[in-house]
Amino acid sequence: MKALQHWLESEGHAPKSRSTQFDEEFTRQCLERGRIEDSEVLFNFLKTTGENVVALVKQGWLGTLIRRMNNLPLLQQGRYGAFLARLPVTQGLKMGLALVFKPRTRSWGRTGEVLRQYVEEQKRVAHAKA
Amino acid sequence: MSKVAYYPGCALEGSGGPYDRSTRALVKALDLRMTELEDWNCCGAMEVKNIHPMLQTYMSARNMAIAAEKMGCDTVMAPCNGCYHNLKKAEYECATDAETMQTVQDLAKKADDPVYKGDVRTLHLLEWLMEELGPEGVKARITNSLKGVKIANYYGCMYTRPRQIFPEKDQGPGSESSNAPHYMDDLLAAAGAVNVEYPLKTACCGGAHTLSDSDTSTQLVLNLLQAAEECGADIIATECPTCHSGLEMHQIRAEEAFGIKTNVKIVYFTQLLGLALGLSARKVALHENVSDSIDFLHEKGVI
Repeated sequence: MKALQHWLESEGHAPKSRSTQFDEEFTRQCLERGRIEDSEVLFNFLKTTGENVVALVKQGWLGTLIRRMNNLPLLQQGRYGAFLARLPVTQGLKMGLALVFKPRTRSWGRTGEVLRQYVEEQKRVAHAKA
Repeated sequence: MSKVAYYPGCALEGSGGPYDRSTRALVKALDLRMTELEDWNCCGAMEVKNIHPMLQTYMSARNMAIAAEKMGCDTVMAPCNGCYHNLKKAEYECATDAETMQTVQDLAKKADDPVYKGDVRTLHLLEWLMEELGPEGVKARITNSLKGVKIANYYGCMYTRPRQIFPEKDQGPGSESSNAPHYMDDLLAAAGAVNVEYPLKTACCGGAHTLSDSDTSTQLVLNLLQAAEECGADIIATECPTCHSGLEMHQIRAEEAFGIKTNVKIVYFTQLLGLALGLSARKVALHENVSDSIDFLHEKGVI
């Protein structure tokens, strides 16, 4: 079923599924830099699928996740000392910096391009056989 | 003793940061030695194989080639189930299919990358700890028992499946079981935890579709959370950053989108073992988890 779905999508007989859109964004980052960045995958996927990121952050689960990740419920409970003691400084800094300075494999060089060419060649061969 | 290259992978570099920090702290506290894999690349996770399977095989093999060729290591240790699974899969495919090995080597030469020769093995962190110390070795170093905290050990689906890529499992006493894994249970029991009978320890959390098919993932995670609570667990111990993030995220999503609240805490096994070895909650990055277990562990006298 999965192979058939992939074939239908690659031949343009079916629209790309959300799962394919996710795979493509993930693979794009891998081939480009050798590594992915979590937040970039998430936000680019939501953008591609046309989801309202602002609404998800303001009212939806994504906002709750971010609030809990930063221990904001402790502030609401008036537990200021616990809030300060549990601030995820290292994690926040690392993830924030990764948004600006994208994780990258320094020795990636031609690897991404070689892999891209390989995939294109394999798809051409498969298409010619079919 | 093997010369071990530590492969954190993208998740531990990003959202799984607390797993990375607790792994490093734990390994240091146990006097074990590992060196981070030099300039590693993504293993391809669960996504790139859907574009083409060879991408995943090559990217995983490239990491093993770096370990052998550039670092002289014979073992790669991966704490992430996705990385562990992919490297084991590449190891298996290259060992059993000459054409795959040839393609991997041809691509490496073309890209000017280190060439994989099949001379590296991959271990999960759990396997490495069992190999180097075992429960008795860990027990001897415990200074702060987990005091009977009830734990459901969750291994996820990629730690044991597909069966054929893990030939070292199911080899009798002492080996890991693909049907009923127990390494995490053994280590946490040695640290003073009480493991509950948890029937869903190898069920899928829907990690690969956590965003693309969120409702399915939320349902799968809810099964895991509710089953753990019904088994009497206070904590679900995890050993994979994707499972861990999925459990945390969909626990919130179940609450927000469907009004179903669960209270079980989600903690990396490395954080629990670290606490039992006397490391502080901050040292094992417990405060960086989304699932807040600090008050609970404080009440139990663990921290």
